[in-house]
Amino acid sequence: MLKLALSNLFRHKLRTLLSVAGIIIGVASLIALVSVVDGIKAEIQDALSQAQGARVVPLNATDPIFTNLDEGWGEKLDKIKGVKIALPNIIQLAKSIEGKPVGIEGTRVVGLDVVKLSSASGSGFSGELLEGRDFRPSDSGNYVAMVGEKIKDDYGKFVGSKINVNGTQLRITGIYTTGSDLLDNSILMPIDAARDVTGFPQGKVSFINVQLEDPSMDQEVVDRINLLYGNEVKATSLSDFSGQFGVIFDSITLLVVVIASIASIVAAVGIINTMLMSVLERFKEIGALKAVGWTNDNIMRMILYESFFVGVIGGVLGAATGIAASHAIKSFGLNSVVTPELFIGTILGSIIVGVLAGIYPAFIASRMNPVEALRYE
Amino acid sequence: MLPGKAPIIEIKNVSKEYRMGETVVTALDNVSLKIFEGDFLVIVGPSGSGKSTLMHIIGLLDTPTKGAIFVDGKDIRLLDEWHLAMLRRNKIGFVFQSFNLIPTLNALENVLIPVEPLPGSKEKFEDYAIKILRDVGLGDRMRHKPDELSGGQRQRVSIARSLINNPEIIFADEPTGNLDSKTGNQVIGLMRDLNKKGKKTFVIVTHDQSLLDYATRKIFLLDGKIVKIEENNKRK
Repeated sequence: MLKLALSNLFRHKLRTLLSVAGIIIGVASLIALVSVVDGIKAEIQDALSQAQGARVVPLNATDPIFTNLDEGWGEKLDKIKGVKIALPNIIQLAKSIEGKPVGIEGTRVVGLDVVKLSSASGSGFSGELLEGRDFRPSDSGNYVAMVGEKIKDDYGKFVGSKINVNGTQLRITGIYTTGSDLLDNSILMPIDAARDVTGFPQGKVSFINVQLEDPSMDQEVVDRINLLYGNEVKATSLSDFSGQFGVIFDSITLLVVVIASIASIVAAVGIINTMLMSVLERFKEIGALKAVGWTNDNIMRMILYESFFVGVIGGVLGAATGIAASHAIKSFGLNSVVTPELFIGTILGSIIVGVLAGIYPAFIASRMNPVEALRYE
Repeated sequence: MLPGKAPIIEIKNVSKEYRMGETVVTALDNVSLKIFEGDFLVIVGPSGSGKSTLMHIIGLLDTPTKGAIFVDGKDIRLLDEWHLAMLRRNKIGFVFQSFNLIPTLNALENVLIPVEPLPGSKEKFEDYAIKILRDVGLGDRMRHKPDELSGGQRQRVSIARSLINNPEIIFADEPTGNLDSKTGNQVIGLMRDLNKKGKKTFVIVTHDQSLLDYATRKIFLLDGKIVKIEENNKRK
């Protein structure tokens, strides 16, 4: 009966194709959208998972790029129990590199206290030095920079070459990688140089990066800072960030799924319409099947198989289209990930939509009166 | 008909009424008929005389408004749709005027259609289906789709399909109605052979007077009533 159902779909190829197209569009757009959301989420989680310790920002801060804080907080926080070192940071988006405006990819200028840094374990994320050297205290006040691997690749830089950021020339002393494109798209420099390059107010920093004696004690130290200075600044453990991002992305995913569900309802209505038309067209044929001994259930099963196949074909082709779209998006520079759950989930979903949409036409077909169908011979 | 033998199907005082808007149309009016094994029953009558309705009721496709139907002596009025379908599948074959073959399936697959819902039907019935197709003279046309076959060949596929469940009784509604007289005669000859050699019982509804010569019994229907039943002792 499966073969019969399949062959029935091939009677009106264009019509079947159009109802399958409804599912293809739904599934493909769902996969493309969710893969981008998942991709961005994975990238941010990846970046955040490399971060240890805590971050201290002004109260009611939104994004570190838009806030500032007195530099003196560094020394205040150094004195708190459990804090190994509190590193003032400046983070700003670069306006231009090599004279060209920076696009949406958002290259960041990161200013670090290179004197304090020498006694710390890295700058806050565990990068790996690929070429050149790390900062040393004597770099303070000099126009030197460490650039991420992405910058090296994008602008063809190497250790010793110059890079022009916002119109200021800096000499590259080291190239690092973190494995995350998001973090590798940064230009690190001594904090004075960053203040000059970005025009950041004197005596101010973007936030304080707090490194801990014992990274597993992050929550205790965060609580201590918030207890002491909670009316002026807000400390957040960096492991908390990834959780918060997770929540935000889950709600974005939910929104996408809601949109996709609406698309599936539209696809289902299309299938119901097509199947009803095809059932009514085969009025006589279904009557004949009943005459030769098919039960109502047999007829119902045949029609359900047909809509099942519409779901299967639509799901598989839609998933393939969605994956292709996701790859195309990737080539534009946005990260996208098609997880196995997404792939299997959408195919299963479209099969379910197909079968559900077949129920009503199948019911109509199974209740057809064979005598009515055969009378007008 | 052998005297004293029990009928396969018997209808007793059967009437069938339809509502057409406000008016009630009587398609069958108090009809009684017995069908015995080996019968080649030909029902003739003008359009609207109730032939098809009568055939659908004896063929267990339709239910009467009044009267009783017995299959092997059992009253089937209480059977539900599913049991009636099972009776049709096990006992009855149908041949239609417009063949009602499935256009996407080849001759062999069409013959297998009645047993298609049974599990493993292909393995169980395929050899038999091939044999039947050979018997009806379509041994070299088994893989052809209906649109690659002539009208007469399609009707022979349809007859082969009616035989796949090895039925006791085959109903044919105007089996020669869409055929020219030559192919019509071939189809009639095939049904007669199946009746004489294969011991299949036939109930045929027709306009075609030439079929009457082959009948064991002729039933004349007019305005929903049987007006004459004739035994045919000079059967061709």
